[in-house]
Amino acid sequence: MFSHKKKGLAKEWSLDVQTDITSQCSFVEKGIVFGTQSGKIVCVNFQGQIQWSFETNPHLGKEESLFLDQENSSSIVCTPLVHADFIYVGTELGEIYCLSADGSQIWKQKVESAIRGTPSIIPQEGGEPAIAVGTIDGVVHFLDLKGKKMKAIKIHTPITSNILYVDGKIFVGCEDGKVIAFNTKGLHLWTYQTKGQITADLTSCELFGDGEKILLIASHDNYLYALTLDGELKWKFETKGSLISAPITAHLSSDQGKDILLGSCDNNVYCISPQGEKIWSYETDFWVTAPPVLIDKDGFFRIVAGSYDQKMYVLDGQGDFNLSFMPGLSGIINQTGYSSLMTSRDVGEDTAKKLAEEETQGHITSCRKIPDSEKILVTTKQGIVYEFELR
Amino acid sequence: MAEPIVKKKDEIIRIKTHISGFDEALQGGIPRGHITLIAGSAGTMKSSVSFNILYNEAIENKRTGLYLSMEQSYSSIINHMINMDYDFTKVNLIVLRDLSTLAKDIRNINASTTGNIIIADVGCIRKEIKDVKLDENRSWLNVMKNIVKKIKLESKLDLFVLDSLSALHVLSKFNNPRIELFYVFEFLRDLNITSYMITETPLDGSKIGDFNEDFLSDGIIYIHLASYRRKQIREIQVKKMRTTSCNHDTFSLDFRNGKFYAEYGGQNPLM
Repeated sequence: MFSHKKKGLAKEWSLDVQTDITSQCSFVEKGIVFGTQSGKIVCVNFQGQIQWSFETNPHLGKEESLFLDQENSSSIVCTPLVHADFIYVGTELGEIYCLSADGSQIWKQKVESAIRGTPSIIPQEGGEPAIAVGTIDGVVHFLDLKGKKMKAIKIHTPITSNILYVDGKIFVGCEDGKVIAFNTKGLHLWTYQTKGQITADLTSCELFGDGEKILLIASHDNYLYALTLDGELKWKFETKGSLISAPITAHLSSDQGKDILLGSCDNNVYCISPQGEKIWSYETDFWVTAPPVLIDKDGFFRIVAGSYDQKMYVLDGQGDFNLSFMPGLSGIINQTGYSSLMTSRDVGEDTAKKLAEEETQGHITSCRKIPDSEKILVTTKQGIVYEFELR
Repeated sequence: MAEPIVKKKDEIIRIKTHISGFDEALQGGIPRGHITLIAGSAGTMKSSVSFNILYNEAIENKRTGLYLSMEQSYSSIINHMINMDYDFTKVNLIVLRDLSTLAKDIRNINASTTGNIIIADVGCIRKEIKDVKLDENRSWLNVMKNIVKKIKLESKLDLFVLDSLSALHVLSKFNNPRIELFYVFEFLRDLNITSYMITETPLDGSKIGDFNEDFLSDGIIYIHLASYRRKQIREIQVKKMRTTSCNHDTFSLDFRNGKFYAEYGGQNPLM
């Protein structure tokens, strides 16, 4: 662990947890929790120390363990859900754990098949909410808060995303690229087919500022889809690489609608308008698989994005504007190679503006802003956790 | 572990095929650590040729070989080999037909002073274990890898025969065969095990393998049946062998007096 101060993005501390980090991280009161390749759920506090570590321990016979991929079967890919001081997480071996804030096991339930997507809280009529998880064998399981199985809805296709609940409807993303909507009674409402696996969390927001909620779906087919809750396509935005993580939304350029920030495996961070048009993009040197983070710094938006190129980037939320011409003393003079006569339109283009960058020692897979601060927690695939402060 | 780089070609260690006349076509044998396809249609003695390597290496060099049969039972394999005059009193023969005995079998290998042949009868294991739910995480491919790794790490394993790659594919339901086979082959290379993958080909020999394993492998030995008038002759040929200056001629393959022979390289035996 170390600490030093500098301008820009300053590294506050780092911690090696000695195993690959295989999930995105979630906040608990005193730090973050995440899953590891070795089958542990680890809590790192805001001071850079391991607060606790919980080892998932499936009961398998010696013979059954020979059927498993020894390197990956213990991995926890599922992002932990934190709800009312409890942590819910699913495992590759199909177990759901409920842990207390201090890392002790409250209950465990078996659902037989791998859980990759984040569990969700689903409101229930006249009762306590339920926890829902999707499994690789294509079932959405509902459990009460004490871990008792309530019901299961068969989707018949492997579920690889979170379970999203919006306005009485439940949405899941699947390995075969389908987004499936059904109601809380399990009645199928609609299916939308993308052309790639959906592993990113499905999200929804009032994108256009008109009260209508829109689903945002990032697919491995390189497209970000904006769908209404009834499954109607509003637009789709093409990148040149798979979309592994969910977009985030914010009022960057106007108060009318929300702009979208998105990382892609074409190495870019994109800023997209509510209408699905590119505002700017910034190219890193490798995949961007962690959702970017937005920080309001002295009234200016800063976007912090981590890349597989092992660097953190700080970008100006407004982007920049590059003129395509050079104003001269006697009028407008076109630059070399630019042949348009006048510049009534397309006078330039929006581009990204990099403000700073900082190196890390690993492929960045998760970034989270610590609430009410200008600090970011970053995890790398190789098992290093960093805290950075935007100065 | 990557394949070690040698300074001189004499340093390349070769494992004999124990087919008289054929090792000479391979600079003495197949380089250690290679993954070789033993390809051919039904009835071409692919299994016998592969088992012959394990048997002779166990006797001559006290090596340990694993013969993993996906479908043919251990009793059928043993009876077949006894009928070919193989003497199993000269080697430590272990039959793995129950996964729960694996630890005991490994102790048996460690205690042995002779070469070892382990026959893993996956068909028998399948009948024993019916209640394991197979999915993306639990597969027969993992069973194969875990048996190989456990024997290699806890004891010793020099040679490995998979009978057959086609049967493994059917049992494991590869989604992306080329990608998954790449990782299987890399797994075996990392463990530095010389491996022989029995691969079934159509009768006309129009292609070798269904999943591009011919590109992924280090070597291909192709056996086929040839008709000369009313006579059927087995023929053997090295189609490919990395790190080896090969004679690619077609040889007649014969088995007599407990030994394989490759003869008449490049010539028609009946002319």
